[in-house]
Amino acid sequence: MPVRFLKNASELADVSWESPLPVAVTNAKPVPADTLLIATTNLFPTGERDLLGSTGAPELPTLDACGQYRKLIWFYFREGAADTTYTILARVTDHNGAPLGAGWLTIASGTLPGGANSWNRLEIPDTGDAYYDQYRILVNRTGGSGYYLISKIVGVR
Amino acid sequence: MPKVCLITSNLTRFNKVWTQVLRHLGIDYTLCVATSGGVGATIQTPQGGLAANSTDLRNYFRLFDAVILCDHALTLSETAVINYSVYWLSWNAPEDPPFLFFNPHFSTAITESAYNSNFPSDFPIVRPNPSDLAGTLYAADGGSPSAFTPLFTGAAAARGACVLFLAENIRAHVMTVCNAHGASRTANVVPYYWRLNPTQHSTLANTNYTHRVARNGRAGEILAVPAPPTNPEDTETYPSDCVVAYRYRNIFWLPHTIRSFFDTMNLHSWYTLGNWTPMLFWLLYGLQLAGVRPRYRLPVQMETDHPIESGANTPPFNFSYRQQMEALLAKHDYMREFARRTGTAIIHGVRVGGRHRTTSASFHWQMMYGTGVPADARAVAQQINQLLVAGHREGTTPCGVHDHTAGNFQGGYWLGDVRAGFRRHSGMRYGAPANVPISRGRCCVAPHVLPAGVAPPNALTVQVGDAEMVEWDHTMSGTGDTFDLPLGNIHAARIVIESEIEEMLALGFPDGHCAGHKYTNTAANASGGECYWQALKEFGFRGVRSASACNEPHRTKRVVSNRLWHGFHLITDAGFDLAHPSAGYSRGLYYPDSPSEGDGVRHWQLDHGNDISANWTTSAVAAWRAYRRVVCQGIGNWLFTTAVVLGGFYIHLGTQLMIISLSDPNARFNGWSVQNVIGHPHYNHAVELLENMDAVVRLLSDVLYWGTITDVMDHRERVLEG
Amino acid sequence: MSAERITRREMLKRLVIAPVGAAVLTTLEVREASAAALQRYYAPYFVAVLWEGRTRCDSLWRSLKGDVVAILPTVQGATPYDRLYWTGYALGNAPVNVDMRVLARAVDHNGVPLGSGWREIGQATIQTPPMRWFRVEIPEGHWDEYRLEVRSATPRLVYSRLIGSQGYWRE
Repeated sequence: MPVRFLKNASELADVSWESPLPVAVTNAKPVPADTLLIATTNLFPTGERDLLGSTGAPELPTLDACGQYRKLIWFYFREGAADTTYTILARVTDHNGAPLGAGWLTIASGTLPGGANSWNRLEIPDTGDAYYDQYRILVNRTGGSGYYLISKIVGVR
Repeated sequence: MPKVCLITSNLTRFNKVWTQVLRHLGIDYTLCVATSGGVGATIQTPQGGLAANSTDLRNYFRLFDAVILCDHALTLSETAVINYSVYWLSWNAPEDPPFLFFNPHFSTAITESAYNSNFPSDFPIVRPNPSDLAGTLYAADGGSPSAFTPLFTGAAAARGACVLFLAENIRAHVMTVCNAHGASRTANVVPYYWRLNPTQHSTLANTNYTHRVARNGRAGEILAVPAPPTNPEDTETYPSDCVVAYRYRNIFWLPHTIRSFFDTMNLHSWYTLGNWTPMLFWLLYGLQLAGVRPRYRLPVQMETDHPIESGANTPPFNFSYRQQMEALLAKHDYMREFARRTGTAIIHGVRVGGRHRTTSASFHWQMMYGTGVPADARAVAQQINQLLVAGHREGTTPCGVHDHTAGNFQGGYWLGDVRAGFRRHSGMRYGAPANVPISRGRCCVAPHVLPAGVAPPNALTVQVGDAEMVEWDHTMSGTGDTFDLPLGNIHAARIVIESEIEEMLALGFPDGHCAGHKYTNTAANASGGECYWQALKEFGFRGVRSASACNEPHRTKRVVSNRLWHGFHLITDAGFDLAHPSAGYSRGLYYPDSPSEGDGVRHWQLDHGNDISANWTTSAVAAWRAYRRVVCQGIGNWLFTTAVVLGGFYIHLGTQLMIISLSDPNARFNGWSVQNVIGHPHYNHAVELLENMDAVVRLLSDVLYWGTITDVMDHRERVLEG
Repeated sequence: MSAERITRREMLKRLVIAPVGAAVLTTLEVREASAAALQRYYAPYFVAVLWEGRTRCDSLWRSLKGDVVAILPTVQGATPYDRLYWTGYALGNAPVNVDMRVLARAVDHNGVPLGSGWREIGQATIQTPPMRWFRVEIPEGHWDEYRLEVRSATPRLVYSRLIGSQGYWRE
């Protein structure tokens, strides 16, 4: 007789490889780091844009629902060495996901470190803890030749 | 579990679509990096750096079910791309794996003597010569150059082809570029097909060869050729020695699939349309030919938005409301029959809101009951609705809520801060005259830190995700049905969604979430944000379709990174209509007097070298060219949606409604031989997409199957990260 | 290359009597074990052994696993770890420099590196003998993959262990 369980609150499913029995692990430590974003940003055009390429949308977050993370770590591989600035904006939302207000808090800005074909790492924030709900991460190539920026952002609890 | 070896020489330019597709198919892989493109390259493997011609490497490759070459040239003039692979062309023992080459670079421009001396003398495909293109290749798809390069085709700018797969005897429209060449690497590049050496091929085809991938037991096999035309109008023909895919012993010589590009595959949050890879068919076909049986087959499914929709003014077609409804009825009949035949379920997003919030005739309820619509048209609309309800119950055409009236800007959920004059339903839990909250409480405190006696008796506990809050001091709706509704809170979300479901019930549907699929496609792909996802879960939904910026154009929210929020799916949207929304509706595959992006060719940038627009009225082949490119773009985007994005591919039935023949609305495209009401080629978008994809599904029976959105969500849970 | 077999008991003896070197990776700060009051310190709450073994090092930069294949990591899946500690012991009698290098990179969710090459977190050198034990603190955590390399003009056998910790900073 197959073992069955209530799946998705309304349907009976047989336990199988494809439909495993859900279990809750006691005394489990939460996974401390989650991958939140992997993106290639086209920096051939100039002008400020977020890592997902949005321009002209000042309220649009790059990352949402990040309130559980103490810190974000931004890893990136930059193909080119052209001068590039970065700005990291953050804000909190209510429990419905609605930002408390318009605009953002600037929590970091500067010149994006690294030369051509280099790996780099930035902590967000570089000191203290984060726990913001939304981030808008902007980059802006201000000179030189265009290149691709390949980023990975990990959220750390 | 199947396992393949991927070879590239540049990790930065390695396109992560390769690994994403393999992950979704459940095929394991090892990525090895060549130290250069020359014959002297070392292949860096987990067992060490191995010379390209070494026995050690050959033995290493035998651990895999297939070896896949991932790099390609941009022009035929390049001298070293995959030169190291020349030795592998002679590794043909039964123990050697099959090798899959895509858009392989074997041009005569290669000067390395070791390459040229080791290239098999009996290879039956003529080596392309950039100095003698006409003598060594055949220009494809009309021979016009792409403005950029066909190798970088994304979600637009497709090249067209109809390919005949000989062993399967199936014709399929799949984007096909064997090699490409132009004056520069990335401008004005022309696609080409290969030229066969018939003598060499004949020898191979008559030579016995034993290998598990040699399905006919011969050393050479033509796999696919350009399909001969089905209508004399179509003069785009190719000689008998033109081929597009070939098997040389255990070596598969296949057209271009995934371009070398620094593209990353995000966690499904967002994909740049320009970076889509619509030539995935050849990778999937190659895997199947090589006998690499995926652990998972991928479910193919399609959705439509607005199963009943109409326009008041429809030049140049000038369809009446009744004609529009009759055209839709024919399409729905066909789709229901197709779903029955294949076992799929075609989701329809019903344009609700017409019962309470708008009198526009383009809305479902108004088309059925609105006095602004003629009675004869209303009667046909009601017939369509009955068909949809029957299809919903039997599982062929499940329907869900799709509300362009909930927010502002004629969009979906949470478009704007406040929806002025929102009119809700009556009855049920959140309808009039129930006096319910319409905003979050002025005070919200987590229950575990709330001191006793602080919250008033009418405080409410709400939960959104992990956040549980005790709220009080709400703005209330009052007993009326119309009020200004702040959109960014769970109370508003519950009112909006229940109102939509109430309308679906009134239309005769038993639910608003596509029956057992518990899904819908959202209007404007705007799923709102956490409070809407929470409310949808409460109403029994398992997932919705959603853009990455999920309350466009209000733009204060983005979907969670992996598009799975507390078990709730946010399926990526992938639309394919033959006109931009600003044009209202499509004028056809191509129409000389279209407004901007008002036909398929313009909207998808398919007029390469003006070879459609310049010839439309003078040369019948232009229509066939337009058809092939439109269909190839559609099928290519649909395959990308299926295999990479695991998303929802959809069309608006109304957008390309009127370009069909009224006397035979479900006829297949046949150029100028079957015309629509304005004397231009008939084209039924739903029929052509479904029938052409069916050919692909039948071809790729090891890899694809006709499934449902439930299969898609199930598979996402298997393979998604996090 | 001279090889010396060593038992665990012998290794423990040498721990007691041999000088211990804290190798400082260039450009990276090494924090002292005993912090002054009110200075922020790192409190680990979970520690895991990521690698343990021996490496025959020679004049080539070799991963701790012994390979010279530049694309291969020493450890993968290291994302959860805030900090890594690499502790080792180098055998051999004639005094010679042993160089060590720490590289890191990030991969996507399919395990493919974001780009070519590695980030060099730092290099360090010890002269062994008299120094044999070394300890390198790698504070740049949460990279997905690390490649730890050693080399020496005169061949050496290096025993080492890499551990990762998850923790947090507190006052």
